Amino acid sequence: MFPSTHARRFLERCLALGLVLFLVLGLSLSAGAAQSGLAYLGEELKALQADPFANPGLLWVDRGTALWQAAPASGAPACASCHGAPESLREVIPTLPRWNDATQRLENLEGLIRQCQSEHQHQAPAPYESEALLALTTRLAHGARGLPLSAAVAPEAAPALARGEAFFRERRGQLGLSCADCHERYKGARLRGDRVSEGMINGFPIYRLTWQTLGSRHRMFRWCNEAVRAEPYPFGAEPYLELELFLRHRGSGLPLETPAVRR
Amino acid sequence: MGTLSLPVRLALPTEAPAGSVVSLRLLLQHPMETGYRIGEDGARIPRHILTALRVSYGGRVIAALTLRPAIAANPYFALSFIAEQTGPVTLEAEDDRGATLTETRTLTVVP
Amino acid sequence: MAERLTRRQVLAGGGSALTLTVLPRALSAATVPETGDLRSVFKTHFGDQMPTPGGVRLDVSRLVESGLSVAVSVRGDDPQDPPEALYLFMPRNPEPWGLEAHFQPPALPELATRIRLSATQNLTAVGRWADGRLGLDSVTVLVTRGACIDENYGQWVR
Repeated sequence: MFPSTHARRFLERCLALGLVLFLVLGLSLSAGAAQSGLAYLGEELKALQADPFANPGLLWVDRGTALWQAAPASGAPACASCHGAPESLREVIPTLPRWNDATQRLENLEGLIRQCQSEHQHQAPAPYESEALLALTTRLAHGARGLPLSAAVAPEAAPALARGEAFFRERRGQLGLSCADCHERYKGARLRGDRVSEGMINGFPIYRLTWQTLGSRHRMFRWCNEAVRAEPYPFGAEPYLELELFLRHRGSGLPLETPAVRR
Repeated sequence: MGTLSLPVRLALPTEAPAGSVVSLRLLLQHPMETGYRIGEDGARIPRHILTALRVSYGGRVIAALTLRPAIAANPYFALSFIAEQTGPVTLEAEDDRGATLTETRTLTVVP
Repeated sequence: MAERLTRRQVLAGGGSALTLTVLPRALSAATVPETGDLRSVFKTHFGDQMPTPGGVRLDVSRLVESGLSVAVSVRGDDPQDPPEALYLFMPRNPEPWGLEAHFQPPALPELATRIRLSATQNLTAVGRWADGRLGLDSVTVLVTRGACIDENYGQWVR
């Protein structure tokens, strides 16, 4: 006894819809949405990050605000003279690092600031990880907080993205661990008294308790490399720019939280 | 006004009713190096800490703190006092290497 | 505009909430191992008189994930009988004496700050009154990752 054509068509449509829903649900659950390091913090440190006065990273935001307004000794314009408020650059920040067609290279926020300082302000660029560079990057990223990391990668940057992912998955150092070993396979697990996060970069520069100060993405990469007893690359090195590109893409959608507080 | 060799965030209301509780909060940028951490060369990083904090109001010191390495880096403090008369509220701090902070704000006390 | 923070907010760090977690019965104070003797430290500061419980209130989380930044607040218990000085001791730190604060009216005998704890210990606040009385309040703080001791790992790479 077969159902009528009408009923059968209805049944077929129900089954098709059910199958689609099942696949969508199943795939999204198995993929696992990316989580910020914030999700791996205890309540007290979460509260410290959210505190609009006491988050220690805000000391660098304040300094960045002052530096942004200050005209360099060379007599060239201050950042504010050309760019206006730091918030005017907020749309750019979540897209960094990005491919530069003219130079045929990747550029990140630190690199762009240093380039601006030497080309347009005629002054020696602030050294990597100096108080000045940290203050400026923190101020700019803080002005873009809430905006999601961009997934956009220029077609020309595809090889760089692939190299960044290869770096992420390559075992290195005396301990022979890759980024993926801890930050994918063992995310959420305990490392002595600590909890392993997913290694997302949406909170940088971060106020890190281990460092008792604020630090950049590349400082984090250097620390992690040293932690597995691998020789760290210099700040601004190409492998770190490629890794940064991959991590931005991997964490796309996560909102900028600068300055994040982390252990 | 004042010398600011130590960067600080200071939260203090500009105005308060007489008899009300005024909160003063501050966040100072300072490494508060304990002297127990080990540096790149394997030697201990020398101690470098804030040693004293003072709040003056009504012409005299109303709170005087002695700080030790157990205070966290880039320290936060919250203190309270009763609003009595309009006048300057002065914050002073010094560390063990001679850096000082003097920051003065005016508190207007309304009836 | 006058800032309308409640005193509780001020003491809790400008709006951040202090989490006071409740320990399961198996982790009562009796089963926490010996956590440092403050008698010699008290003798240095207060002479022969030993502080007795009461008179001050110490607010701190009972379980902290990082000893490098622990929010604490200390205050006199009775507004009618304010102490003139407050002290904070962390008996298992390399240096047990952490803070000393002297207050004069119109300052209130209360403060909030963030401290470093090197290990699980009985964090102790002491109040001293003008007439020489000494009162204390003590909280056993479980520290997941200690300051001073655990933080040397890889911290020098800049």
